[in-house]
Amino acid sequence: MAVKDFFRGRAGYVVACTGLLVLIVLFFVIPTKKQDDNTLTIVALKIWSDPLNAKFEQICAEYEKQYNVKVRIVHFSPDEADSKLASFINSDTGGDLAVFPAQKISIYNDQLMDLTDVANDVSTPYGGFYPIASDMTTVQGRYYGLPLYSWCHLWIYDGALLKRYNLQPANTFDEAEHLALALKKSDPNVDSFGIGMGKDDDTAMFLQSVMWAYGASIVGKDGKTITIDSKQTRQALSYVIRLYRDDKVIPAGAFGWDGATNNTNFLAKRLAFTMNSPTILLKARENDEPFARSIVETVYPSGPVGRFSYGTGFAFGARRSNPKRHAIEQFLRFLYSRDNYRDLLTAGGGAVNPWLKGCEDLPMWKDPQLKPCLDSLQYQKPVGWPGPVTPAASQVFDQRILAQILSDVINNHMTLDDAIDKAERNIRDIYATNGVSQ
Amino acid sequence: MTLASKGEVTACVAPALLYLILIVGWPEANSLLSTFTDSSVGHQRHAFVGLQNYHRILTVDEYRDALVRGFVYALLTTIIKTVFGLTVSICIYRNISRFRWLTAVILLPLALPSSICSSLWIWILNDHLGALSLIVYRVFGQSYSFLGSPHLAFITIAGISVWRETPVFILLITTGLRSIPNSVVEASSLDGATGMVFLRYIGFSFAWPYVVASVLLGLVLGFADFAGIYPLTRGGPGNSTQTAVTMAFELGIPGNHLALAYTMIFLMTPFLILMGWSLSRLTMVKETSHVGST
Repeated sequence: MAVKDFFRGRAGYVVACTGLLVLIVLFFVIPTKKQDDNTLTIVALKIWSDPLNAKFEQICAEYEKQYNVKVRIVHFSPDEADSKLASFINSDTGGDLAVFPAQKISIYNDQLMDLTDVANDVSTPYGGFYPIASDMTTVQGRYYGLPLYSWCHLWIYDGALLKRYNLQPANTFDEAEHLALALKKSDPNVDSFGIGMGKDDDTAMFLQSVMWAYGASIVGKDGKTITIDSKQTRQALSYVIRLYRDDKVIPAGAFGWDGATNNTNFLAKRLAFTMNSPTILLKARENDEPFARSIVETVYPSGPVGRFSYGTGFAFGARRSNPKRHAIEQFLRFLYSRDNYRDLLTAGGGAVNPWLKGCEDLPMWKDPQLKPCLDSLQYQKPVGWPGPVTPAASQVFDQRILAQILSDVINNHMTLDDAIDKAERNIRDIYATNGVSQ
Repeated sequence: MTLASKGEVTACVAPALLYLILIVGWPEANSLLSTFTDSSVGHQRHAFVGLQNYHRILTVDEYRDALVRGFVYALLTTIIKTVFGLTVSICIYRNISRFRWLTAVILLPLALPSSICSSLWIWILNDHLGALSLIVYRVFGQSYSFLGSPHLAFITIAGISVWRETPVFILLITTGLRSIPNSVVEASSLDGATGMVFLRYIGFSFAWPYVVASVLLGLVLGFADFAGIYPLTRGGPGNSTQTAVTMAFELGIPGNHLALAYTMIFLMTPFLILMGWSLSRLTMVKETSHVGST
């Protein structure tokens, strides 16, 4: 019988069906290949500083050599963070150690390894972690994430433009409004107050910082009482609405901005000032040195009750059920050793801030353009402040409830009171879903 | 050689059935069960919550609006894609020898990865530096924020979806038109059925199953469209471009409420089944009438 005839015949059909059946059974029966015990897989965020990413890989290579443990690095971009980390948590084959946005630690804490001993050991030689680092990575005093580094949110000005019109960076939010109006009057081709009004991170961080500066908060100290419906919230949000609707200093298209639009427009010299991490400065240094020299960075302006900045950063986390606890702790101790951790930050060149004290003497903090990064640490507050960092607080931030209020008022023509009422209902709903009774 | 006995038929169908049950059915059933729990990422044990998730999705304004918006988005984009797809396919079919190259050009949007597409559109629509914004400003003397105003943002993402997926419609419908046997073309030509008459009575009958397949595909792609919306607007401004799928993502992954996300998705299923059933009925009716007429 020819091969062709065999496959056309009954016997061939039965063989093909059996083969398919065997494949299906094998797919379910054969357990997923577990990683080699001598390999440590790190799911690492590829951040916006190539030298820092390269330095991290170099430190991993040194660890490999010194401890004879193979290190495999799986990079992911900030945009992929949520889905990558969800699969890391959900699967025991997704890696041994992952770099988490720090506020996620509170969401996944009951799935994460208690790293308190390592945290205490590695932080002691430095004089401890900055308070915000501990606030974001501990639950009931235990570290479920090991704070790595943070990134700051600054006000970034086109210094040449300010100089041309003899203007100064703003020290208060009122000054910022006057500055924006003065710039608009002086140069109509440039948008003065360069912040988006959409759902990107920069807008969310800006809005939360303004709220705190006006004495407003979303939740109280107990982490349960919803406090958004307040006079202070109205003042804070009225300020932003006035900038957009009455002063027209925030660009008309700001509701459509994504996280990169303010960077792009600022580097194209179409914005007088914006709120961002220092990446704008570092990018300008790569591509447009004269413009970079003119950039002025400052910490957030102060409001009626003080100066605040939304703080965020990254932390290492490992699954509680991971059997390679020894290798994980060994690697973390190696990475956080004084030389390695300081070298890592130095390689970042100011792109990230330390979360361990005792790194204030690094060379980049002597640079006047980058010093505000370090200064901003004292003003940073975590998500949910003045309450603790909780999954519900993170979710309120992630769902951009504050930006939704602006959209309701400006685009949907609701009154501010109605928009705040609606936001309060949403927030209560999120807290209830997270098991927080009011 | 035929497979005669019932046992043999069952044996032959069994692997495919098993495949469907294990690879498609099992995860689907698992997800369906999760909609009655408080399931979240990484938690192995879940509490049974009954219909609470369904109640929440259907009673909270944001969730309900996202469901309706997803439905409108899928329907609107599918109608436009079908109209464009039919028009272009007819043009191509009637001038097939001259427009062979056009088929390759039309397929270009499909060749681009969706992430690159989104980045390109973000650039094109940038209100300061974008090419389209610049052209609109030069023509109308006024700038528009394509992704910054709620209604325009919805129209813009629908337009981008039409741009990206109409080629699939064109490809499918053109295939249908080109499946008309030469003998039928010649016979109809002899009977005087040419041009639009030919297309109406012959062409459309042959293309109909392909049109139905396109519409079904369009509806499914429209309902499930995440890459065409989320990277561009994150569901904003406000919630004006928040569809069931983008909302499900926000609930399930950053929000860590997988059960709510599954529920959101499962609430779309009856619509999809109903549409699939209606369209398949339509195909059968058309095919019956087609057979009758020939």
